[in-house]
Amino acid sequence: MNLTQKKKFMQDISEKIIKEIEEKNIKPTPKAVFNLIGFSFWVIFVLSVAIGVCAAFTSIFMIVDSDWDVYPAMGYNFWTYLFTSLPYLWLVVFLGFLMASFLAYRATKNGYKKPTTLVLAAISVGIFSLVGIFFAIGANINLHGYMMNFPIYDRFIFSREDMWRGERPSCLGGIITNVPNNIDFILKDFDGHLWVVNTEQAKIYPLVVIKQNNRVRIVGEREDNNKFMAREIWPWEMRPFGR
Amino acid sequence: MELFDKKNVDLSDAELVELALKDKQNYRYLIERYKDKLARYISRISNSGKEETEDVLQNVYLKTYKNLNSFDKTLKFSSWIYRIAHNETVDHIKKWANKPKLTSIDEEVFQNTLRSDPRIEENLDKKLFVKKVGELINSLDDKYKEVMVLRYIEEKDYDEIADILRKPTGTVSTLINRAKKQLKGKIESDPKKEIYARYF
Repeated sequence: MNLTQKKKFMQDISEKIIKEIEEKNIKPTPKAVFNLIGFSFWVIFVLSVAIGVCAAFTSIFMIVDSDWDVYPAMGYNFWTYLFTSLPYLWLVVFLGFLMASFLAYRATKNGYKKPTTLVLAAISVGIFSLVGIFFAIGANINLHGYMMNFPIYDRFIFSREDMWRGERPSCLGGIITNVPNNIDFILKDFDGHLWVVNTEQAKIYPLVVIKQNNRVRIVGEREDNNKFMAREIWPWEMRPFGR
Repeated sequence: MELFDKKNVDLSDAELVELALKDKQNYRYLIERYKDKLARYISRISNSGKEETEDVLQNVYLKTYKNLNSFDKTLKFSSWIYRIAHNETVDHIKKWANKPKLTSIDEEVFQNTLRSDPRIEENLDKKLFVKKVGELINSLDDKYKEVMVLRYIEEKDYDEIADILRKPTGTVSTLINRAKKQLKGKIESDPKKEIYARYF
């Protein structure tokens, strides 16, 4: 394109644009719309952080609340137990909402100016600081207990209750429903199945009270579909954050 | 009706935006101020011909007009409109799968950007050098090409490039360094690399 052609091209375009604006009645989008869009990104950011905090709290709660006191008796070594008990679903939820909060922040007016690593680090520190505060004040934002009300949740999580279901021959957990004598008690496991638990040779740990409606964890041997010979009996809640 | 009020020509970009918001006819001042630069920029990034460049430029100006109320006065207007031009050009390239293919080099601009050399007998070499540099920049990966064009041809500083591309300044710096390394690698592997030695 030579200089003359360039000049003509440029003159034409100015007229073309103004004419198109007039013909199509194009108007500038109101400022309120942009303000609303900007505000929406901040709302998404705050919500993502909030859900991230809950997911992080739940993950930490579930890790700390695991059976670190009794896993050897269950037949695990440290690493096997660790990788079995990690709350993968909540870790994925946490990472997902960490990313969502990062992207929402990036979409804000000046969100692109800070380096990626700094933004991710700041959001992560913010989330874990809030988790620490909630733990310190004793607030319970553990979503695991709430989600257990939804059957579909059970399919995606391997919880403590799953560890202590009657499926594992050496482990049994549940609620004491009846104590007919000094040796036996009746336990209802997490599937609703009833067991007669014999405690004659069991080591019963402190804080265990064999009493109706108390929850316990039992390590031992299954004798048949209804009888369990206990070797060790632990209270269900024996971790710092047990609730 | 006189379309151009000369006193408006010297107003700042922010003032022209205010005028355009009041009366669409005033938008032509902003169009006139940026049309040459934006057309060159679009053409370089997309390697498009006249008609395609005009189409993209038209879309840029229409989009800019629709979004005038979102212009943030803490930002330079040039960075803002370049951002819109960049995004529209990238969308255009993706839409038409218009892979960079050298059609013509804006030799006039490259000549102005390079050091002048009064030695007449080297004119031919210089034209070849300009062509070579153009080919080199066009052969870079898109993410490197766009920062190199903005930095060394549009002469934007790092903060402006960061505002245009909506990337942190550190990322812009990294991209430019990597682009230079890629360029250096290409020069080193060029059989006629002695051409560059005369000018770099």
